[in-house]
Amino acid sequence: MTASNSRYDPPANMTDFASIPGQLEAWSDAMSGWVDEMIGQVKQQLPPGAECQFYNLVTNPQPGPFLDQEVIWAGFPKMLRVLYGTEGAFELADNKLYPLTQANDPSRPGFYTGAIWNTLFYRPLDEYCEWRVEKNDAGKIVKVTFTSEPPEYWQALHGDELADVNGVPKYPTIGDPKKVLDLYRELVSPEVTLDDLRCPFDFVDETDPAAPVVVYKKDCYNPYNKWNSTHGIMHLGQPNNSLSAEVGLGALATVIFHGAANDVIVLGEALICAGRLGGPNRTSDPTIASTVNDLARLGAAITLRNPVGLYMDSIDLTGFHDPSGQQVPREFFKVVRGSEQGGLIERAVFEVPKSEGYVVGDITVAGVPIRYGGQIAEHIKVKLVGVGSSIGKYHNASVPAIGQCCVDPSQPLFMRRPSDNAVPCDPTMYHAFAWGGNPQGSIPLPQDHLRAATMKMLATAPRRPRMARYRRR
Amino acid sequence: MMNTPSDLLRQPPKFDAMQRHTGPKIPQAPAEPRLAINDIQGNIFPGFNKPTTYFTAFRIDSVAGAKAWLAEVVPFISTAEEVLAFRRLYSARRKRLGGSKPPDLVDTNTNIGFSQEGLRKLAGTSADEFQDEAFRLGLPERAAHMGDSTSPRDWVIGGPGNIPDILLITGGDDEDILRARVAALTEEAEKRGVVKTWEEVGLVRRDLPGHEHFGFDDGVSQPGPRGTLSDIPDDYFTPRYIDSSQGVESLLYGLPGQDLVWPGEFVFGYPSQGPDPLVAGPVKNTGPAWAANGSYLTFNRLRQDVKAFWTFMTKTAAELAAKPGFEEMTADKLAAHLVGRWKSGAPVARTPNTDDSHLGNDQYANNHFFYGSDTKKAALHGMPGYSNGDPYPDAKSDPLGLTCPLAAHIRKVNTRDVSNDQGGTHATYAIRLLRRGMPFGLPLKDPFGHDPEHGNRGLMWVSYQTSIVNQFEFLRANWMGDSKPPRMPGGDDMIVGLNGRPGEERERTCTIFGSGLQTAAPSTKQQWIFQTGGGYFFSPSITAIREVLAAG
Repeated sequence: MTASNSRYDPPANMTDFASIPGQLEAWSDAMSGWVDEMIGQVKQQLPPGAECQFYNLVTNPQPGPFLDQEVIWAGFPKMLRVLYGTEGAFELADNKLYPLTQANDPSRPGFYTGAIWNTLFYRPLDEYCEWRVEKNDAGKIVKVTFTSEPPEYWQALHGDELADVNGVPKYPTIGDPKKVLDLYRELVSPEVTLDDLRCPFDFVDETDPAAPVVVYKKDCYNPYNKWNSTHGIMHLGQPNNSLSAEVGLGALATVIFHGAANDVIVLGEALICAGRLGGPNRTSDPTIASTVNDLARLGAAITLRNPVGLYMDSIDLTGFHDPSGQQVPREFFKVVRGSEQGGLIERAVFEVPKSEGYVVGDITVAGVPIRYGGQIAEHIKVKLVGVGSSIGKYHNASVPAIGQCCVDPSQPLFMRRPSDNAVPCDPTMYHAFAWGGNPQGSIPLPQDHLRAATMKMLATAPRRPRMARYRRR
Repeated sequence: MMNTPSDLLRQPPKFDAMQRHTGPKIPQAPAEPRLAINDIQGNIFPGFNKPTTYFTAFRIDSVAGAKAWLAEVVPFISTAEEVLAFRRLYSARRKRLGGSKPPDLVDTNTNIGFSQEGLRKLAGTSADEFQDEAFRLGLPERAAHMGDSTSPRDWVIGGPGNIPDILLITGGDDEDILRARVAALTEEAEKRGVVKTWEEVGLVRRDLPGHEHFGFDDGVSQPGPRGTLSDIPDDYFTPRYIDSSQGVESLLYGLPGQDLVWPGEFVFGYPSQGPDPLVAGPVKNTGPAWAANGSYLTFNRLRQDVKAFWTFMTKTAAELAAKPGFEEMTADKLAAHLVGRWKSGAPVARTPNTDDSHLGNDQYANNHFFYGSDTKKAALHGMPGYSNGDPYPDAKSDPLGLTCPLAAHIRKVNTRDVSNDQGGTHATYAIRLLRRGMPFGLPLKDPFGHDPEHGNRGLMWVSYQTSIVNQFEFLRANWMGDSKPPRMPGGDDMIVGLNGRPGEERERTCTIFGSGLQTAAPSTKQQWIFQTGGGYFFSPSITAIREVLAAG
């Protein structure tokens, strides 16, 4: 049996492209191009003689049988919770927008440099699921809109040239700007104009002043337009939440890494750090990478299932109660784009029908009133789908780790994003998973590494007040 | 010559009553905190582990009386030090008796927990400093979130208007002594306006000690709290058995496969789990200062429908056996694959097709398996019979759940070395809890025969942790209660999970694989486990009881 796909289809088989001649082929070419680019990158990392286990299912179909590997993760950003605690994270997730000059990961530099980027904003929601909350005059939530649609889909629908995995425009699309406008007016606001959605001039990244880069050309679609940031939500906006990033992670995670003692790295966080594969503090990247890597270590051929996309798989409404204490029906979570069948949800709205006489903010979850959209998001599972086949076909050797994570004891649960292996951790921090990340590995550690790391941690422990203060008088 | 499994079982346990070096000396080992074992209640760790346990609930009618009673009770509250010392003594004595139980060596242990209302009565507003949302709201408010379909008003204990201020747990080896202890404590309480509202006895199954009523060995996989008992560096609370020649494994596990977890996940005031399991994480600070050395206690009275359970297994196994790839399916095998262990405790990952009671009973082997890569033999420190590892077949890499289904109960609650929907493996450690379950009711010997108990049997399920929301409730609602996490292709935890998702009529289903990668999806709408009582409590330190709760 062979996986036969004549083309890569749009995420969730959405139909917006269908009436645009040549658009489906253009989309497939872009998808196929990203896959091939990433295969090229993987090959550069593999040891001599090794074969890439990640393949293009259109141009290089593989024999079955196939095993779908759905990879799911929690929709609420783990990094916010790690950095700001649950309440702080809920507050920030709903209400804070970051300028593109500032990364939501405090261990990273901003995404772009230049005055224009200070005026463009994104939601700090980096688990491939973003949402926007609407409240009534009483300050209660009435509607929460969720999306997992990638920005590339909207750039393509506008007819822009899609960038390659390095950000250089490469893949032309046909597009239909009127469709973009119609959908925005239907789903976001009737006030939207096409000018609102387009770049009024070239958006230039000046991070390297000697070599400024045009990221979005004049009159192209602006993914950070106000109707997808300050005034509304249409698709994913956090700059790491892209389809090409998904393809990149899926492909690069097929490389098998080893640590200092040549032990193959197994644990998810350690793998992210060693391979510089994304955000170690996320729910998404470590589980995506390590699930793919599990298949790679089994010697499987691996790809992403068509249609490749980022999806909300499902929401678990167990314990969501209306003001009378009754379970709310699942119809309150209404799928607007994509498909509930098979868990290919791209856009959904959580809202109480007016006829019910109450609003979202009157619903309780486990006895706690909904005050934040994040309380709903943490019940959403996000996913992508990989496909494994021909287990045992490949016997690729591992390659040395190329990255590492450091932990600052003042942010004890936060792993600073992987840096180059050649750059040691700051002396005030410790090197996480210096032992390699294989629970059956050897111990390539200096004698005092773990002790010193723990001492750094304990030095930051809070001092306790005296017990006598609490004696009841 | 290779030892046989029965030879190995006769090997003496490695550590004796007065042993202070409970692990191999490994220069690279992390520094671990010294545990205040004379201040921590002993059922938190190491656990009473007694054949009979009384659960007694009280309401405080007189605060002054309660304080006076507590002041008297404090010396009877068993510390971790006392329980551990007795266990070591018992174990050493039993070894000298050739494995027989020492009949004249008995002890009685008492521990105490307080609901938030109970703490308010005794400690005033400082009780409101506990930040755990679940503890503040109480189990009746939270139960539906975990899929429970029962009405808390019908619970025998813990429903609205019936939430105890105090839960006393008293376990003992000698039933007469135990009964007398409970009676004396209760009598003294009632004299002082602390009124008993409920009492029930938990009994280790006399026919199958350690097994719950469905017939499975319970509590095989418990995490091992990190920490030392003294200033001697390798005087560990959780003994370390793996030889340093095994490398990292000797630093990550106590018994083979027993995760070593930083104690702050179980007791307040200690480092908790950090992103790197070998480095201490932050000290949690989510309660009043006097919460140090205390722990949240969750108590759930769960009725088990044994007849329904085995009726399903028998019928479904027969249906599956008619399908290609599942020809060898039996009721026991199906149940084992849904639990992840056979009745003996032997893991399906190591023995996929038949039970192996030697493996199930061998604590040095029954928890030794990984999912993300092939499991290698682990040499044990100073144990000749295990110098080359245990003699059983090793587990093969199984990240996809082709051997042990991803929906198997043990894979739903512990993803071990593979990632999960919360990210990598941090949650694997940070959501662990210490279970202290105890059956109630008499066993049903023939699941299809006459039931003199009319179904009144189940589990007094007790756990200790420092976050009810992130540990107990997370496990029950997110991993056991949801069909998707922690990994797919999974399904519901059919054994313990309760599908409360709207519109699904409580149906539970999962994916299991046949010998040729065929898939099957057993399903049922019938519930096998019912909440019939419970509550959230806090089990304080001895110091906090004496200086805060009992103080006038």
